Amino acid sequence: MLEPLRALAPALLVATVLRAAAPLQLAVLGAVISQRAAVLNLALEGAMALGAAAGAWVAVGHGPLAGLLAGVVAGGAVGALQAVAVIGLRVDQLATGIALDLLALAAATGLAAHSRLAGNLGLAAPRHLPAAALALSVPGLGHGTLRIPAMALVAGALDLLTWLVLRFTPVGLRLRALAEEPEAAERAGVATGPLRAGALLAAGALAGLGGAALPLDGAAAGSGVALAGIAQGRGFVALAIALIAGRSLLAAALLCLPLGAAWPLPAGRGGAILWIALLLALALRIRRARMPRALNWRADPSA
Amino acid sequence: MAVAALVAVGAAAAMLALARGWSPVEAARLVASAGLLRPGSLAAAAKAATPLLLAGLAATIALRAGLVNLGIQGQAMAGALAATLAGAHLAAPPGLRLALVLLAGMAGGFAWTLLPTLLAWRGVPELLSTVLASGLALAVLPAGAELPRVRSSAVVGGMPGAPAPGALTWMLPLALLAVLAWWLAARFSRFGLKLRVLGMARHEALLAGVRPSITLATALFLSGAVAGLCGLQDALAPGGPHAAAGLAGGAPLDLDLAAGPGLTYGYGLAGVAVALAGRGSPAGLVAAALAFPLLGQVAAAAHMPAQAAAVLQGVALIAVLAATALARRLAAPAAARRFVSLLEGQAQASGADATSSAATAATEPAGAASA
Repeated sequence: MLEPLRALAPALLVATVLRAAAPLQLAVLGAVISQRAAVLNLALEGAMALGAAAGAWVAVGHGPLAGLLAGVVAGGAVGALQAVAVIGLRVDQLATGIALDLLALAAATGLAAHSRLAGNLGLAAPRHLPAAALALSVPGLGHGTLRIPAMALVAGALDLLTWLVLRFTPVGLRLRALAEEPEAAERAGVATGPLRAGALLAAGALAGLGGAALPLDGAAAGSGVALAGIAQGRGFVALAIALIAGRSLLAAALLCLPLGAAWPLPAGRGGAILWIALLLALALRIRRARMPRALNWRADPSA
Repeated sequence: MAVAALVAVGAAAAMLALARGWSPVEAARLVASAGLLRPGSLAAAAKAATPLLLAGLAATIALRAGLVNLGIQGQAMAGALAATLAGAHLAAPPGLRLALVLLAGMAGGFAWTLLPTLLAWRGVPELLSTVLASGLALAVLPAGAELPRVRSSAVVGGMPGAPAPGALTWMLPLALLAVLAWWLAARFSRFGLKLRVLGMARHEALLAGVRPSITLATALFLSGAVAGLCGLQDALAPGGPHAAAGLAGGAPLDLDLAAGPGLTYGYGLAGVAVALAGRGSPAGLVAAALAFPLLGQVAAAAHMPAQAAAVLQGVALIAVLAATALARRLAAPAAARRFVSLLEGQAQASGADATSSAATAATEPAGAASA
């Protein structure tokens, strides 16, 4: 009687953690990529919120896959606006990020009102995307199946893809050069403008995908939050995680697992300890992490 | 710059006209009658604008030094808790008590900027550390409001002569005074000059002997102290919701109706939005703080859902930012020419390569310089 249970509980825990961490993971990936493009991307939160609203809106009529795609498009739209403003018009990147957050949140609020999910996900049934089932047999514990959520696989695959692109392709090399020495990269003939714009577009699309996974994969279902507010600060904590992890995508992914599972951090002593740990980790790592030299987060006071 | 309000109201009128198929004149009349011409609705807007004005001022003070304070929500909560405690436990003559309560609110907001400022010395960007400190406030402070000894006390009186009882509080003139005081300080004091120079031309500020660590820390402390006053109207005014509601941060923009009080929604984003729309000038701040609640009221008067009000507010901010960016772009060539000639004069005087170093100083990574 106990034998299958004992095997089941860890598998269930792993599946839950992976499912909850996937959206944060995708946002962190967006933060890392925009970091390489020398942008401290404050618009990730808005891209997530808009992705969630658009995903839920489309998924009602057309299924979860179309919903995820809508999330990618919505987040990409936020990224495109950001690219036009920051790179095309040279508006201050922090002001742009905050303004885009507000605009995207407003649009998400409007979309959520029209969505037949009725805005409140606590009432809607969680829509789990399919999961890949793995038959496991652990000696001494019996065997069970580990169901890895599809979104976790997608997030992991995108992580790997990003690492490969940054490490081994000409585009990745240029992006890394841009992050370290923008002037040198420019002198070497790198078209920094299109490269940065592409990176911002990709970052927005990734955050939008993560946002869409929140209502669609049940990662945040049942938490009772309104659809428009479902990002719950994940876009901002993704920036912190990307800074703590520095250049290591693996460290970023590993950090996402506990934080994504615990998000939103609970009230009370446990939550307080986690917040302080985040702050201290940021303080301890910020010098060591060797973040891209070109990353400049001073605000333009006249903006 | 009342331009901000005009643009916002104009955008609202245009969108109403588009959405409902009305003539622009009719839409403009509705906007004016719902928000600006009836004393009752104007008073309600002014009351809603009071915390927004303080939040916008807090964000402006930080922005002037090139800092982004995204943690106004947490600072407002800490200030509201400290002021509520002071109001419930201090026995003093009314005037003195009010002053002490206000000081307690400022001390609470100031205390919540201590950790981010300390971490800024290690190079942690303040815009992230203040957000994380806000999260800490959300985790810790609501429990403080549940303490039996924390109870609401009507310390901040309502203003006589207001159209409705409790419609306006003394926080409104206080906020206006604070804006005026900040403007005078930023304009005429040594500290204001240091902040401005540090925000605009860091390299030159360093050459001139400004110590960035102390000046920036002071700016963040001041910003937090002002942010600590945001929650007082809700927490302490008669007829307002009780302390816990004030602590939760309320819903300063209609956006928050859906999003709920959260990490940065609440006063965090709202304050920075008001500061950005207000462009740092006192009149602009007041206009922007008034424009956001007015837009919400206009949408309500037009029987539009609250979500539409949120969209209106978002679009209005973008419109103001785009308009000013455009204006600056048009004005930039002349200003740039003046600036370049100034630099050339300096370069000739010192004989050094000041021009190029000044030009790169503006773009060099400034993380270490905040330490």
